[in-house]
Amino acid sequence: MTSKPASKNYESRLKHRSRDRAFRISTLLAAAFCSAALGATARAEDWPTYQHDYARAGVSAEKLSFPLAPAWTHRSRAKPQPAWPGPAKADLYSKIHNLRPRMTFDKVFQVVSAGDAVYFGSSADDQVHALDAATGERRWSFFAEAPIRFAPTIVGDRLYFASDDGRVYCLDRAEGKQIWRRDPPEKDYRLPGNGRIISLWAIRSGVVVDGGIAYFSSGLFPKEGVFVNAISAEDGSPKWRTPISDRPAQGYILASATRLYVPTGRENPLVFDRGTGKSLQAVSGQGGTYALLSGDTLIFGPGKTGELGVVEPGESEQLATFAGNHMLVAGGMFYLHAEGRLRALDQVRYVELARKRRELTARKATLTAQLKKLGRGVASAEGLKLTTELAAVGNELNKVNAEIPKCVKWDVACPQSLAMVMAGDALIAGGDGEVAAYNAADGKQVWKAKVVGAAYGLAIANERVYASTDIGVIHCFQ
Amino acid sequence: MNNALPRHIDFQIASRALIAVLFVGAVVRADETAPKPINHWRFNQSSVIADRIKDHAGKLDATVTGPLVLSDDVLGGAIALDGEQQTIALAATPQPPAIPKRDLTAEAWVNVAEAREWGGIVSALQDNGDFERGWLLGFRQSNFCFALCAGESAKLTYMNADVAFQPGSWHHVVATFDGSEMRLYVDGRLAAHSKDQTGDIRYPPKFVYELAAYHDDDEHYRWPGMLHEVAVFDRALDEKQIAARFAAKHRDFIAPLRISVGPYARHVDHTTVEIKWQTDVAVPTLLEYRAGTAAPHRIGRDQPTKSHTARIADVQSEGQYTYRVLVPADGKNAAEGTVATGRTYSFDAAFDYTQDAPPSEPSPFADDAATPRIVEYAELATMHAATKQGICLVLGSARGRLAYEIARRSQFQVIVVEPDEAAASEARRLLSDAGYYGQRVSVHSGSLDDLPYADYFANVIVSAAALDDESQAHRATAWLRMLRPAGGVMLLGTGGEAQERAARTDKLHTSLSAASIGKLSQLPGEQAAWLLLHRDELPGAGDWSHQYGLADNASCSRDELVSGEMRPLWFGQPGARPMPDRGGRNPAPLAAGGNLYVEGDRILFGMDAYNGTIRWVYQIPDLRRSNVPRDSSNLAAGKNVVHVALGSSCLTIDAITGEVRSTFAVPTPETVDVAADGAAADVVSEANDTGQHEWGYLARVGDAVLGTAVHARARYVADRGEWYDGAPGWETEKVVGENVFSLDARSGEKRWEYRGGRVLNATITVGDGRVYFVESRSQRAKDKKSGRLGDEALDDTYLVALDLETGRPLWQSPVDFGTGRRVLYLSHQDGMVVAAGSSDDYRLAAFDATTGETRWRQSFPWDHDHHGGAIQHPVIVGGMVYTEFKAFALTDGKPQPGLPPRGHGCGAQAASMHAFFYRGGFHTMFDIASRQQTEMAPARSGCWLGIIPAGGIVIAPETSSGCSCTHALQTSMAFVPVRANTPKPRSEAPPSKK
Repeated sequence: MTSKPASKNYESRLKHRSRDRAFRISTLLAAAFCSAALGATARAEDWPTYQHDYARAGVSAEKLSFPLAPAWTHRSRAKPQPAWPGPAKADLYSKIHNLRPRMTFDKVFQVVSAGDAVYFGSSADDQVHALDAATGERRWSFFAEAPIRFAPTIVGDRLYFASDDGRVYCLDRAEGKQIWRRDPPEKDYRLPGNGRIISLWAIRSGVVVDGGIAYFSSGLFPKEGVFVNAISAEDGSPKWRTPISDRPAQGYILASATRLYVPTGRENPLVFDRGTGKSLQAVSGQGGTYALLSGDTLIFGPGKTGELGVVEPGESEQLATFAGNHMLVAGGMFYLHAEGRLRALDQVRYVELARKRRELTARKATLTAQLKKLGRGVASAEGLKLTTELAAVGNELNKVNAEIPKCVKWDVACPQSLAMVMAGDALIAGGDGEVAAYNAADGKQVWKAKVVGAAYGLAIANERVYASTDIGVIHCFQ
Repeated sequence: MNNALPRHIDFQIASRALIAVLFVGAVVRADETAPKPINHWRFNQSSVIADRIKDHAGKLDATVTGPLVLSDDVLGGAIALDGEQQTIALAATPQPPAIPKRDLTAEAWVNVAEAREWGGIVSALQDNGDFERGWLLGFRQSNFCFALCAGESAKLTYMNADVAFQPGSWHHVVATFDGSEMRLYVDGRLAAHSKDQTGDIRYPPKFVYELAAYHDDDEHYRWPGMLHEVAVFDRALDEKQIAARFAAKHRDFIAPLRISVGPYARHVDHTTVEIKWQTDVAVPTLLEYRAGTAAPHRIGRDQPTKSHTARIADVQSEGQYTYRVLVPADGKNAAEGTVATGRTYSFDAAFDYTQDAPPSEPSPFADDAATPRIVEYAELATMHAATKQGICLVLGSARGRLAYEIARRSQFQVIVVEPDEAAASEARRLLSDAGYYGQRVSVHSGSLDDLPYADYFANVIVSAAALDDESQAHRATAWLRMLRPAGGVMLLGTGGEAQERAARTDKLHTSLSAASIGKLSQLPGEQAAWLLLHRDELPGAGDWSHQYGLADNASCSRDELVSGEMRPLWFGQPGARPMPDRGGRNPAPLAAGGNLYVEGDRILFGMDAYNGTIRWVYQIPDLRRSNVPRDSSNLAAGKNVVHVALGSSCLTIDAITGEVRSTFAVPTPETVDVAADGAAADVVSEANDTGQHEWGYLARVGDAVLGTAVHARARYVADRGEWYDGAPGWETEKVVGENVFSLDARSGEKRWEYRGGRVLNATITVGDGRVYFVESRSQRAKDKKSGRLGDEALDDTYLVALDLETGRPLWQSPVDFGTGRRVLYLSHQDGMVVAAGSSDDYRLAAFDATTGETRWRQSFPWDHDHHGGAIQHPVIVGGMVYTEFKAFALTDGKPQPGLPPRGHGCGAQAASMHAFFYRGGFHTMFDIASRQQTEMAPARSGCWLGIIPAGGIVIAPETSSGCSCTHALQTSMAFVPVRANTPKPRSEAPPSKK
């Protein structure tokens, strides 16, 4: 293979969104920093892991020139074979129809790219394939023993991936040769699962590789063992392993500087200490495997109704929820991708108001409880005082609620509701049969192109946009 | 009229009437002197103005939001109601432009696709707590209703029609009020009246005037079906006028031909769906279908037949398809016009579980000297396998050639195990080049002596490596644990010269014979000596062939193997999407002979119980039953077939192929006078009853199929999230049969039929050669037409035992079952019949199965009367009767140590001989011997019986469906007891280098 190494500092850029101190200080500062960084860097960039980095931010600093032209198309022999079928049609008892799928991690062959190569794993033919980024021609393929449902991760000259066979593989990414393989420490047990013969400790998290450590989760049935694992990225030797007692781990694992965030399928994500593996908390919400980090603020969903929840560091309760499928956080803005709509919200102002709302709501609940406790004493001086304060809190809450809609900077129709990423000042959206780009400044559509199938996967690398569809087609535009 | 023909299938007469109507061409045939309505909405194309339906009599056009789909199912047109999103608004008050002040007639031609708790045809009311005003023409459950508030009254008077309506059929419904009397007419006949209200209609200050919904400030209940027209008059039409209006039009709405069986749809491949149905008379039929709202297409044949088949091609991978059956208006030639035979059906294109088409790549395998033997091996293996679906385990790769040859001859998922890394790599490459690698064939590297696979998972085991291997006899016995019981096939060959071959074969035969797990036979072969092993059912394994285990309703499979530590055996489809919502108390999955049947929401899965392979799937619009505690399941399994009660028929479906082997019609109900001994004393045949009754209770016992005929509107369907968990009321009404009968399972010939009172389906129990049930012989029960009984079910009740072979009553005892108002069950075990019921607490009574004499009675309070806590079905196992968490000795009723609380769980319990299974927080097991309760996170079942121990394993199809809980997996799965040879944990091993 004649490929040049991936762009320099790819590993440090992987860490960029999760490690920078600004992110740890506050969401606000993180956004400001991010904005400055985006303004400063507009060069070609790799897309070395799912959604660009371990925050799964989906934001590349690269600036694209539109329109883009179709470069090549790769059609796999078999279409993706998602592990899980769609959700129930309705929760009739709760009168909720059109339930949203909460496990969407393997609807397409998600692409990663570094340098002049593109890589993807296949849930249909159990192989990782390397393609030439310029032509789409196959360079090499590597077989696993079960479906590969998650995109590989590129670090330097190595490519890491995991499979339903329960193994983590480390390959030389130039040749596709195995460097090491880590098997489940348990005695191998394989069974029919999701239509294939897979390991009882199938890996459904992808692999995060940072600081010489590879992190992943394994297992689907707690009684048989579900674990969050850390192993040496160098040779696969074990570092630590933490069991999860009540749920499987499914969904792309996320990492900040100090923490791992582990989606758990229909359930809510769990948080672990990166250094020790200690379980820190379970966040609240309506479950789902779509997740991203802004610093240590976790945004995830879609629950059963298409809702993204925002959970701040150290909190388990949600700060806010948005009706939407995807979100990007960049340049001090929330870009909210909802069914048929794309919106930009002032992140700083929104977070400020949401915190205020949380505080007022809590105070209101306290006052209401205190008043209830007074019972007939509500007419007493204390009752009067509480009533007065409750009214004031209510007024203040109304004001805050009235301010929140003003955070919306623009709101445009966006029929492409299946995926969203960002490159420089452009938001790229994937839809059914098409992809489109929108100007992040005002929401105006700047480009649109046809694709074959539903584009649930997008990646941007080195002046190219890749769209992966649910029928196994990868489109490259440049 | 030819009396030999049922009236609904008198095709010629009906079509003559229709042709006559075509010539008349008028929608309303009232003459010039007929009363004039103040509003008249006709749902046909000429009435549509954008999103509005023109008011032909007044100025109150109806505004339609949501889909506006007009159907020509009925002459003159009709609007299709989706029951979910659609609104047909007339006006939002306070001041509607025209509405009757006192005298009122509201008239509609309506087709309600399914009964719901509340429905409105014309709604102009508020009924919120104590505030009741206005009026409503609509329905409640299966009865049309009329509600009105007048004068100074503060309450609405609700009147229900005395006869239930027929879902999916057209009815003429009229409500009148003249200031002193409310009247409700159904199909031209007075069906209810009341003088409770007098004066002007008392309207609320504000309300929504709307069609096709019950809509007030608190509720907005829509319903699926069709509306042909609605008219409102400001005068009360009299009985004669209403009868005339019905008579003038009703023939337009008679279906010219009844679909007697089906329809049922099945994916043939990813893009082809085959739909079948039957008619009572031979006619040519057409199938009209459409994808979503696309233009309709028609397919069909011109030849008259009773068994109809249509294949829809180019089916998309997602989306709802609707279809209906048409017949030529003249009975012969579709070109002369067509008429729909009934309602519109649907199937979901996403419920396609067929395999991808075989790859078209040329074979990358070069022939060599070993090829003939490999090809012969593959041919024999696929020829002698019980099924060509499932999993085939190939031990030793033969460069992938054996897997390739088997895969291309079957639909097996082939797993190859190859000890040699280089050989494995080459096999992968070749199989990938052939287009088979991945979903169809996978190559695993590993030792043939230490295989990691789950027990029982392989339908077929073959070994390329063993052909010339001296040690294969030793290995082969170790491989047997992975062979599927009840039909799994292991085929091994021995090569070498004749003498050597014979010696090896003998050795192998001896070795496999010693295992004693199945039938061994030698197959003739040119390339090798072949030894074939058909594995038997597991000794000690039980079946779960009926709703509550066996036909004895003991909720115990008698399985001796299921106990102790469990681990997953398989998991996957079907998932939540095709399943009904969790709370409807739906029919249990069944498993018999290693075959698994899972009933979803109008869909039936035929599966392999041991590896979860979906063999066949039918989407059947009428396959829905719920509230099983007050009814019975619509499935029963034999060893190799499943019986399905569908409409007025019972289908017998082959477990392996899914082919419908036979259809039996429910014995036509007859009017009888019942003698004191319960025998039919004077049978008066009432033929031509077709369509008025459905097949209710269903059981398969030996070579007999048992059943009851129930009223066609009786079954529950839970399409609105019903939970059936409340206190006695409409949801505890019991579905009753009007007879009990036995048919020959092969021929369908009727062996006997019993007619007495109204037989409670939930109580029918078979054991020791007898059929036991509770029946009400009260006139009140017999007079009720709906097929569901409330308190009447418990009037004048008898416990009856019939001879299973002859149907002759053996004994019958008057027994007061008045304490079974919420539920009443019967079970049989060890010579005892146990009645379990609940009203305000749990009551148990045990009877001698040979005499009916009462042996003992018990009662105890329930722990909670929600989440199924007050309606639990008993489990009888190990000489004990368990109900909820209490236990009593079967022989004398003395209290015994019970079960631990189930925790948060609303399902019913199921047992093997050694363990209980139920829904706690997750799937939960209670081991009787150790008294240990184990939760098997992270999946959980629905709100009735969803976990069954059968075939030596535990099977838990997905039944939680729309559950609001966030349990992490919604999956069908099975568990297998951990045995000595199941892989056990090992210590951490170093990573392997390349």
